[in-house]
Amino acid sequence: MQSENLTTTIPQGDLNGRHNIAWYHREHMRFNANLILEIGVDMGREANRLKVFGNYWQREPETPYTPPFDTSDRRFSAAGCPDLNPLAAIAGAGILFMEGGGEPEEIRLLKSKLKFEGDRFVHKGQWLIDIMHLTWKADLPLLDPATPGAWPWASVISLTLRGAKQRRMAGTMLLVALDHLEQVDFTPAGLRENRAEAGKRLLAAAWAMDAASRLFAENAASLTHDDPYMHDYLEFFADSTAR
Amino acid sequence: MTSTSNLRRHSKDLTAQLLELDALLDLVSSSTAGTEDSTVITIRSQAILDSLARIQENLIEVADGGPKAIMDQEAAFRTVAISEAELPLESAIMVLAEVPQLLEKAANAQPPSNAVVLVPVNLAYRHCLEALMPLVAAVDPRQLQRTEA
Repeated sequence: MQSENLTTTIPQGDLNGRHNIAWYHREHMRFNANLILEIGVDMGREANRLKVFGNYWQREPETPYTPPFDTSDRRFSAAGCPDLNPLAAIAGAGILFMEGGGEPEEIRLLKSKLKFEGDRFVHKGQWLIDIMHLTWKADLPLLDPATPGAWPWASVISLTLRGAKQRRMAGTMLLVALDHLEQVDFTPAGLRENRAEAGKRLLAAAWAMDAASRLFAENAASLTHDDPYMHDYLEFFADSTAR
Repeated sequence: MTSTSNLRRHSKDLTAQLLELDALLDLVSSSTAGTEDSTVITIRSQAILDSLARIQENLIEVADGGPKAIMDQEAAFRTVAISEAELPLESAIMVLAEVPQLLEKAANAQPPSNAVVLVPVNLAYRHCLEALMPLVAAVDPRQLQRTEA
């Protein structure tokens, strides 16, 4: 009925192409909703690891658990730094500053992750923004009084554009966090020069990661809202191809 | 660098447009396609679009290139809020721009109906509310009191 009216304005081949996109991208959106949520959770966890140290470095160091010894002795280069590691937090946070070590491996890995995910979401977000602008213009004919079954697609495009911008900003926030971390000398000697200031940097990085995490979570939630829209949109094609 | 009073100003501007969109939704819902209602809807939706575009421009200007690794955390949070508020406005503007063409389509439909016009207006309403949320969430009442004192 309504779909019959549509075929007078849109060639069947174009409808079939859109039908294909709806099927495959609905499934991909389902995957992305969970993936983005997982990345948000992961970044939230990473931020919490930093907060433990950031807060500790602004407090008086806890009393060492062992009597004093020569920390410059190379045999004890793996010794933990009581003023940099809150002992009870190490098992959960998994970061360990050692007297003879430089920047901990865990910090290097975190920086790599922030760089990778930050760049990835800035670029993929921009890519998706561009695609949504093109899709909006190309699919406007579906926003027609004769085709109410296709109207949910307009909502999906509009929300995906907003979501793409959220992803791009989330990527930016991860790069901001990285920028904070790059300004900290993570060697024990470097940290001891200005322990409290380094702690503030860690908190600032963690809060930037929290902002990214929040944007990922909001985007993921929005994608799950899109699923019923996509369901309705696919029903529209079922009607139009059943002619 | 933005201030708490800036956040409030942008919140007020967005709230005003949210109310305009709310009224426009009612107007479109009760309108008859192809009548004088369409002229009123076009004028009002264009006015909202212009206002949202101005707000978007202001937010981009105030965000000054977006979040950066600064140590003034209050300023950093406000910049994040301003940047977040801008994100949905492009969608709102994009969909509202189609209202005049959709009104024409609605008038030529058989039977004439403005129902399709509700799609962009309702989306713009949603996006406007989304834009408002980060601004409201970033207002620190203690800062507000200092501003007003």
